[in-house]
Amino acid sequence: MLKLLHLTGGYNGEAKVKNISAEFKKNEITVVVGPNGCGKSTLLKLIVRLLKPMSGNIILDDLDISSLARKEFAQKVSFLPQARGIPHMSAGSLVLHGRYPYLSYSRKYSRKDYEAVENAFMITGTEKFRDIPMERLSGGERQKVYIAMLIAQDTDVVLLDEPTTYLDMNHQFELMNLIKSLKQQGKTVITVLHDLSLALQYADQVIVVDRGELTACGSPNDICLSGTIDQVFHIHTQVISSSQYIFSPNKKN
Amino acid sequence: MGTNHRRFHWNPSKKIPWFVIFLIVLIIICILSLTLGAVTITPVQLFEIIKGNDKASTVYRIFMYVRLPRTIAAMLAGSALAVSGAIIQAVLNNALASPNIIGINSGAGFATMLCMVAFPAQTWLLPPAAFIGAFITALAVSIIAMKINASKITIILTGVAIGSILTAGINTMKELFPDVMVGSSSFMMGGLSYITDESLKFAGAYIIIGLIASILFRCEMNVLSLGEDSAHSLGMNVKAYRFLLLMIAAVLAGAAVSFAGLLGFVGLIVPHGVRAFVGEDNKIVIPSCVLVGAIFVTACDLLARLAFAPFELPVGIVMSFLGGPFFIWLLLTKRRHINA
Repeated sequence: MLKLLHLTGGYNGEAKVKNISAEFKKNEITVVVGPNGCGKSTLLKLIVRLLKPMSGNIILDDLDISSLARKEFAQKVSFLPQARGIPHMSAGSLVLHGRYPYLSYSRKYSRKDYEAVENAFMITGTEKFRDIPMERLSGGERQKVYIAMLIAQDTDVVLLDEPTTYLDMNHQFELMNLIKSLKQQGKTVITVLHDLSLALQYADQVIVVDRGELTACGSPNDICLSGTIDQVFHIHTQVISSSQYIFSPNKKN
Repeated sequence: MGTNHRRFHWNPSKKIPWFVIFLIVLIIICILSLTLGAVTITPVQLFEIIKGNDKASTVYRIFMYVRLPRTIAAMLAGSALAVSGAIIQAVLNNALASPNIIGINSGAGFATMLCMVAFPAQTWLLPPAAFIGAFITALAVSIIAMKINASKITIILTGVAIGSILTAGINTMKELFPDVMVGSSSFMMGGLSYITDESLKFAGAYIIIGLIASILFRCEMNVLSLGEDSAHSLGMNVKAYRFLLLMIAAVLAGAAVSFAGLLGFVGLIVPHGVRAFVGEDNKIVIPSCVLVGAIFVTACDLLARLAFAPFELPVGIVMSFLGGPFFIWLLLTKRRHINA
């Protein structure tokens, strides 16, 4: 269980995330949504310790995460950042990098490391890309290989920053189903998604962030019915049935 | 599952034993460099020299005091600059970067010249001075790059700007103290004709340490190439490793520049050339750069001595004549490896 307690943080002394408290449970996908520049990515960066909080705490299994050593933390929390260059390596060695937190100084991969990698290939169906350089894969394939790397890293908590951006619709679904399988393995999944319908369809818990503040937190249905989505995004949401929504422009626009 | 370790040969190029080929080529080039020149040493004589007979002969003295230091110097300079280039490309995540392009060589050259002017007789001071010059430059470029959150091109432009300031500094000293700068045109182009045992001894120690360190940290270079955020989330202390690797690159480039002058091209083309053959994995790229850098500079120096014998060209000139077309050929045929 991951808990945020009055978390505040940002860049250069300016808070982009303000006093956010939230809980993330095992076997659940929490989707963070909010307008551009609302602080979603900053929130993730704080949780994965890419940024130091200005105040507040992040508690993972009753431990403040700031007390963990780097590698120890990387064995518990993995992160797929949004903007990435394409690394010059084969998909296979990328996935193997997921085992970096477990290496001792000799940098020798153990049988357990190779097993974790095989397992990751199997779950994501990316075994066939093993020898192919990352730059030759399509965007969707590349993203699946990255997910395989996260699976190889084998952490209880997985964070993803807009993993479906720039993908075709079918690849978006494919990727979301992979992310769903992470939750079924008992992981705590937190992801930022730009696409609201995708977010509401796959989320167990939705967190709405607006101007750095948490404006709502709850099940997709509750969030929609409460009208928070409409307020924050300036749109009109119609609930057809559970996990089916229609979005339309706000009438005032 | 589980027992199939042997299937993890992911780098297809691994099938060709490039490393062994590089090693054999290096040995051949070394022997040629030791024996060919204004005076040719025959294999029989070489064997006698190695056995330690005949210490009074001219051939022995040519070998011990001219050929051997020079060959060692060429190898050390080549390895150092090639590895330095590979490290800088990995740390800045930028295929265009190399010690000469981002101004590190100029920093080392400036400090070396300054040192020669201020303390003319202190050879031992040159490598540490060159290192400090190289390191300050590297640090300046990377700090500016991080401060403005620079794109790949901006990092290069920053380096070019800093490099040209330092080159102006070098040229100013050349004008003001013409007598200190014996062979300064060879220094500017890069040359190995002024090698002394002493200058080599100090710089060599720095280079050997730098090469060992770079081989120890080659795994980390791979992780860094995933990008800062990913490397961080895999548990790496990105800032510390960046700093450390940049320092190793500066030691290597600085030490090489302190005795070989501003040999530019090696640091850019050898890493790219190596990657075109062995792939992108730094675990293989770094040791290969040690060998291929040595091969390249030794071979160029050999040509520089032989082409217009008994006159000699600065090795830097030969390097550009040979390296330029080779690099263009690489760009045309294996462009995939060089895309910035």
